[in-house]
Amino acid sequence: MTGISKPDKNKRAALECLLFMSSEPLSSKLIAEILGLKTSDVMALIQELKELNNREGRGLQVMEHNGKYLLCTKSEYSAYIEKLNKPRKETLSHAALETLGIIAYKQPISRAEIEFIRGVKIDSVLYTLVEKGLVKEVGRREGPGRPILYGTTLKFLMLFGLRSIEELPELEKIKNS
Amino acid sequence: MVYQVKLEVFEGPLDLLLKLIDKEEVSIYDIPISKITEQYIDYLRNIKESELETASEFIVLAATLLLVKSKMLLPSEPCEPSNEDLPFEDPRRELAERLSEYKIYHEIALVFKKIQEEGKRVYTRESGFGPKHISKSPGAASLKDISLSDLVNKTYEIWKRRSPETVKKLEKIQEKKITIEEKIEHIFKILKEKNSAETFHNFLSSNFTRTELIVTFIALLELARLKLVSIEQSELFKEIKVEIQHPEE
Repeated sequence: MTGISKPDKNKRAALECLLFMSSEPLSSKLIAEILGLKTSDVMALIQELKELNNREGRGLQVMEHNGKYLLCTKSEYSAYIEKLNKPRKETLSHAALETLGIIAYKQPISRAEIEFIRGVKIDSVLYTLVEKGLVKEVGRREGPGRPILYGTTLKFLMLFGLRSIEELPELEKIKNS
Repeated sequence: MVYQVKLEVFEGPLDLLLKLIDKEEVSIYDIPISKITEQYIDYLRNIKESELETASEFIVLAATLLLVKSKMLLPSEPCEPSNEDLPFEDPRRELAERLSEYKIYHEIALVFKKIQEEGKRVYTRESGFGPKHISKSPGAASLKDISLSDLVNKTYEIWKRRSPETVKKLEKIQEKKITIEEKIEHIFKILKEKNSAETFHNFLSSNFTRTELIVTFIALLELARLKLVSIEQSELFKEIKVEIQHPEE
């Protein structure tokens, strides 16, 4: 990656600063506005930063949620962070994990659809997941009853050590295991 | 004495069905429907009536199983040569497809559990700095991008931040308990000190709680019943006078 011109390098550094400072994911549009770049340039810089951070010896990496970006720590170092700041223990029941799995893979999804797959009512389980901040309302489906749709949150990615939702284990692999 | 038999807990009817099929070591696409239905219904019989809500979910699937079973019993119509492209519809297929989808998520739950146990989490900066915190017009917070769940979460965060002392105060509001005995003693003391009649009104105070008002009233009634005080009202709506009743001699 010797081909990067100097101004790009500076902007990439600035991008890293923005992602480092923000506690909420930033859209490429907002980053573009701040850096005075085109969105496509920002995307290219994010890709570069991703590759840079993926190298060994780096503690931070780019995380993506709903098309927005921020920096997170790498999952292999979580034990150290937890020594600094003990996390609350999040124990989830099998029922909760099943529901969470359905939402993660099929989002956005309505409650009735989840209930059909699991064959049971999920009111209390869903409530727990929303309360724990792992799942949230992401909109409504147009159609009869306009049912609320649910999706996973940034906290869900954090808890399962995923850089983005694309990193979920492949369904096909699970099916064949 | 009622003995309660704790049955194996299932996550739901599909979970139970999967376990039954697993035990038979058959494919979900080739369920021995009659045998499985029988075992399933056997399990249903053991569900206590008190767990009707759970039971209803199991019953729905039992009905489905019976429907499939009855369809299997009916002779299928021989395929017309022209209908050869149409595959023979196995009555079990729909159920099998549902089961196979459920099975995936059942296993994902196990995968998720494993990931959680490995504790491989990632962390981001704690809340406090981000686009939502940059106020566009000073003084006016924009509510546009704030959802109800955002508000709930923020409130919950603040709630969690309470100092331990506040929590103590909040979690245990000490109720001042006044017993009738205490009140009787108190009234008696006032009357003795005054050594003359006191109006009923003076025993009450505006800052009394409802309980305290009631206790005061009952205490007075009790004193009257024991003939320790006399209660007098000269006219309707006039002040009620309370006085120590000296034993008649």
